[in-house]
Amino acid sequence: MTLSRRQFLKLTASGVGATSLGALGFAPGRALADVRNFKLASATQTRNTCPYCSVGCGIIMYGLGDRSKNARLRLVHIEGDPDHPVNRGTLCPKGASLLDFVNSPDRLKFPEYRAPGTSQWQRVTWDWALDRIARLLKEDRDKNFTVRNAAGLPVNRWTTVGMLAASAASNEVGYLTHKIFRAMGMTAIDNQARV
Amino acid sequence: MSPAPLPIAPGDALAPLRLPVPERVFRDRATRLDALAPDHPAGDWLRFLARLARGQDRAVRELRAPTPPRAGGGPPLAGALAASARSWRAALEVVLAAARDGPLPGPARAAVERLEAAAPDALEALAAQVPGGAPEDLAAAPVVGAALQVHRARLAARVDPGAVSPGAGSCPVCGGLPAASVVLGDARARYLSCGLCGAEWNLPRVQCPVCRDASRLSYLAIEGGRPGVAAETCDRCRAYLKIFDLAEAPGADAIADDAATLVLDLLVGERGFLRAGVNPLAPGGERAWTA
Repeated sequence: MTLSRRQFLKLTASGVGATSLGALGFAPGRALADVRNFKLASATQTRNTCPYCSVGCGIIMYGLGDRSKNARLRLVHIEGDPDHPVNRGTLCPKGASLLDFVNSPDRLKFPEYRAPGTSQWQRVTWDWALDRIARLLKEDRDKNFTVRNAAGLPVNRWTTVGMLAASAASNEVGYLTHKIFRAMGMTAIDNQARV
Repeated sequence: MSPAPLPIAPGDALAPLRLPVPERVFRDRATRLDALAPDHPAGDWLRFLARLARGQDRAVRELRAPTPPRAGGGPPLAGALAASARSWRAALEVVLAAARDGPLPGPARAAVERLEAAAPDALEALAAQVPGGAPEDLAAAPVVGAALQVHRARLAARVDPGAVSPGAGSCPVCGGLPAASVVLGDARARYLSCGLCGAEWNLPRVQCPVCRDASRLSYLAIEGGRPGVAAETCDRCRAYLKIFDLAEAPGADAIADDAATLVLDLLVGERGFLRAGVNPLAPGGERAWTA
């Protein structure tokens, strides 16, 4: 059977006569008066990867709301992806509680900064945060970069700062992480960080 | 001592194919239709379909099983209809008797009488229109479709699962079109349910069974309606197939619950989506084509 151009069926409330319910004479009018009284609710299902550990379990996230209207979806359920070869539908207790993590009122959604010696967090922009991280990294590297060790051998290493990468990073992100930070001489890179 | 095996389905490898059990499927469907009928605005129609399903069950128990067609290329049962025409017509007689066994509105009674008087050639012509989903005689087609289901389900039950290639848009056992998707309550996997032979084949969740696109799907359901029932609509190919989630709608049957949710079809159709599902017991709709 070729499915390149296949036949479909068009059903509408006005074409009720074109159903077997109508053709058999089972009072379609009464059955279909419902159509005017009901509304459709739209939901979505989206595949993703659990953000926690390096196992990288597949998940399916259920959202309520109309995707086509660009409305903000409300996440209502998360379950293991039965078609994912890693977890085949299962989740650990942490993964199974992802819904509360996503909808938590305490969830961090933007960069925050706590100045040394204070107890207050303040919201900052990504630009400010990234500039500051870059500045501090450079200052530390300028101060602590080791070109040669005690024996005079070239080592070109920077051991005073480490990198915690994400365990759910893809192959490509993992490659770039190493490429960039190894080039700076960084030796402590943990790509298996449980966040 | 080895620990007892855990009775968990998640984590098990998914069976690519679930073959129908004819001795159970029609009896369970009749029970399901009877359970759906009370308080349903089309309850009399569902009770009529339950009667057809009981006739199907009787045909399975009373008639000799049909001989499988010789294996060629493609799905094992492709062309099963032409190969053993007499067998499905024997099932038709049993289903017709069951259809008569209760109250019938005028048009339904006329359709039954039409079928009882029809010549074999005319019946074959009717049967040929069932798999496409838009038969011309919408009153006679459900009875013909019921007989074809009996015939194909009994052939499908004896197919060697190892000889079946993985299915996608159409049934890998008989080449028929799916009636609906069913998501298993425990394993949470999706199976497409063949409207004709009743075989169920696995297709990954969250992808359009028609065009396989995964990015533009929506699940439309009636607000405040029964849980576990939705139309999986695809904005790319503009088609939809109903999906029944057995965790939320335990006992749902692709054929029975599809019929009982006709209002969802009409609402989704009003939004311009075309129906991809073919339900031989509840045919309807105008033919429409898409790329």
